[in-house]
Amino acid sequence: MKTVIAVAAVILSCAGAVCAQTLDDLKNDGKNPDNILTYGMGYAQNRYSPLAQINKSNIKKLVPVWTAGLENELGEQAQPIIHNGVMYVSNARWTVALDALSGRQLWRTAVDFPPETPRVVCCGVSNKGVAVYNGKVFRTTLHAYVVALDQKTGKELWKQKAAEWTEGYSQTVAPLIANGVLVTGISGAEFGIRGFLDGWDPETGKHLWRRYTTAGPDDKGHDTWEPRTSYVNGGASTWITGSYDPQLDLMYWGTGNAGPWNPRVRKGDNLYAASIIAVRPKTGEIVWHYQATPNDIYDWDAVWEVILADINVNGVPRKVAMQMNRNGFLYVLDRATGELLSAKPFGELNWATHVDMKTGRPVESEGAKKYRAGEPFPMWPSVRGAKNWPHAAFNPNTGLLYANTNHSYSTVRMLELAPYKAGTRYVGVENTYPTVNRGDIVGHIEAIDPMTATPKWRIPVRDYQIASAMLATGGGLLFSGKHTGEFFALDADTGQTLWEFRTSSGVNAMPVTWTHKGKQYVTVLSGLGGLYGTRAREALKDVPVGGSVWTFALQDN
Amino acid sequence: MKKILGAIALLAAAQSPLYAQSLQDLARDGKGGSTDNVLTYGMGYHQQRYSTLKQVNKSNVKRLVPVWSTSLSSNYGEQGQPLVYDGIMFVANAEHTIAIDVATGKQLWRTPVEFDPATPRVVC
Repeated sequence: MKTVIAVAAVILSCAGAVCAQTLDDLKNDGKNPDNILTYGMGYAQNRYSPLAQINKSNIKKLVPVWTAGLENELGEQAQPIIHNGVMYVSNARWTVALDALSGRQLWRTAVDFPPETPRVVCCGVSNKGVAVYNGKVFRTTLHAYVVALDQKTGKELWKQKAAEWTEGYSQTVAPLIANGVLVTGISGAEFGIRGFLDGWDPETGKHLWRRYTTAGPDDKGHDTWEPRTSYVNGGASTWITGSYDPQLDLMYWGTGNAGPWNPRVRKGDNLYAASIIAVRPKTGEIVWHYQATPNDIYDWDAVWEVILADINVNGVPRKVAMQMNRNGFLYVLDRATGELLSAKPFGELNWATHVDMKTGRPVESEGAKKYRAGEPFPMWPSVRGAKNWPHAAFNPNTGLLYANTNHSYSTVRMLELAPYKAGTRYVGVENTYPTVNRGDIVGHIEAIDPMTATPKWRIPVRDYQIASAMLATGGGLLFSGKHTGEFFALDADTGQTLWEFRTSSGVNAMPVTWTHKGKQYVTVLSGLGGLYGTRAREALKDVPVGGSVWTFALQDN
Repeated sequence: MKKILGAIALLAAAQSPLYAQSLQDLARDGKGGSTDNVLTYGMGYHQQRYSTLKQVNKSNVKRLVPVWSTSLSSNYGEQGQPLVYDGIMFVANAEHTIAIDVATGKQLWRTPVEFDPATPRVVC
């Protein structure tokens, strides 16, 4: 009898509108803290939760409540998605559903990517997470397929090829559901790809539109490619999920570096590489764009999170889009029009002197001009950027951005550019990093004012740069993690470390916080990987690989 | 200066008889030997797997929580009993032998076992 009742209850709850989340649920993500439905914990990608049960006064009582192995040694970068008590996580090999309260595995579906795929992956074999909508779980695969799984069983419902991986295309991006359209990006700007966004029908997998991010013969901006054919291998990948403003019905995606890095074969500004683009989800139309780095020769991807907020600009409240760009400038744009409101350096940089606020263009330094002319250039920031992808958080109450930033240079020099060959690296620049000595400052954890780009506080990071996103909470806390495995909480007012726990491997992922029956939890994935975890493997040789999910709560007593 | 002192301390420790455990240490394991160490299979030659420690007890076991974790990077299964000596934990599986700092969980070293990939066919 008990079984019958339980079955009836399941049917009832799933027949109702509660089982499948709606577009309204997605818009309101962040308002019901039991769920985390979007990349960035809300379409605005603030990575801020007002939850305050876990706070400065009790953080020392935070303990692990469960962990789940992910059977993957390639690295974990994903943000978990939580819906109705079920947590969905992904990596390059698996999509996994877990009971959020106990960590018990509900289903696990394998990704069958060809074992040769990693040769077209620049920066770590990984996956940034899934999207959920209307009873389905969506993800991308390393060999550039977009897949829909049944949310209850993990069974594959449809699978569509986005691009040909042997031509250098790959996917690690978490999909975005905006205005009923499933939107995915692409990786591969080091392999001579032509970047794009795709729109799909989430129900059927039907391809709705493609918006190439290098302007072709029929696109506005085609004359920014000289010779005109160079757009074909022009890069401008879209490997970090865009944010979305449902009122304006605009998505904000960043685009990657122009390809190849060596500009010999592509004179001109090269639209829409190294830009922020505002895109209509139904059509893929680019409504406005802001190019941060015209004729990029630095690998200045502009793909980092575009954080949406309403802030005061010269005493006037403005709806803005903010980005701490790889190139070292913090851009604040009017998100309705694309008007540039501020562009101040947040890190050490020597490739440009400033951004001309009249033209919106960076003014390149003498050093940068010499680099263009063929001389070696010790460049600040390094090719990894003043900030890499690890996403910043924004607390609307303090008005501050909280970020893990980089503090290093690298020496770049133009090389002879080998002719384009499909599926091989197409770069033509040599990049060397200086030796990092024990104790060297390699980055900062900092709280930054968006309009001045100056830190309210900053804490030096030594030895290994941080490659984990930031989470800010109403409890006055920041959560992030280190390559060496520590998951930590800081006082958001001072940057002081209040708590840390060594997880089983390196942390280079995205923490989230959520509630179940009124109790607050914090979850993060552990599993050394990604760009830095892969490149710095020798320095990190004593950090074991192996992925797992970690969920923490305050100890009851 | 601090570094030099550290080096001297290490040298002193290496030369003292404490550094290498003796047959006597092994015999005393689980029988009045230091509870800081676990030196034998079964926690004592008698394999009683019994420890007199009672700091963790019935009244407070609900407050027992993980303090660190470390990945063993093996998909084959873990059956090993850890040994602990002088603040270092030694763990083994089919693929690796690993030394871990007991206080922090930090891996100190890891040595792969290079067994012939065909071996599993003679493993029941």
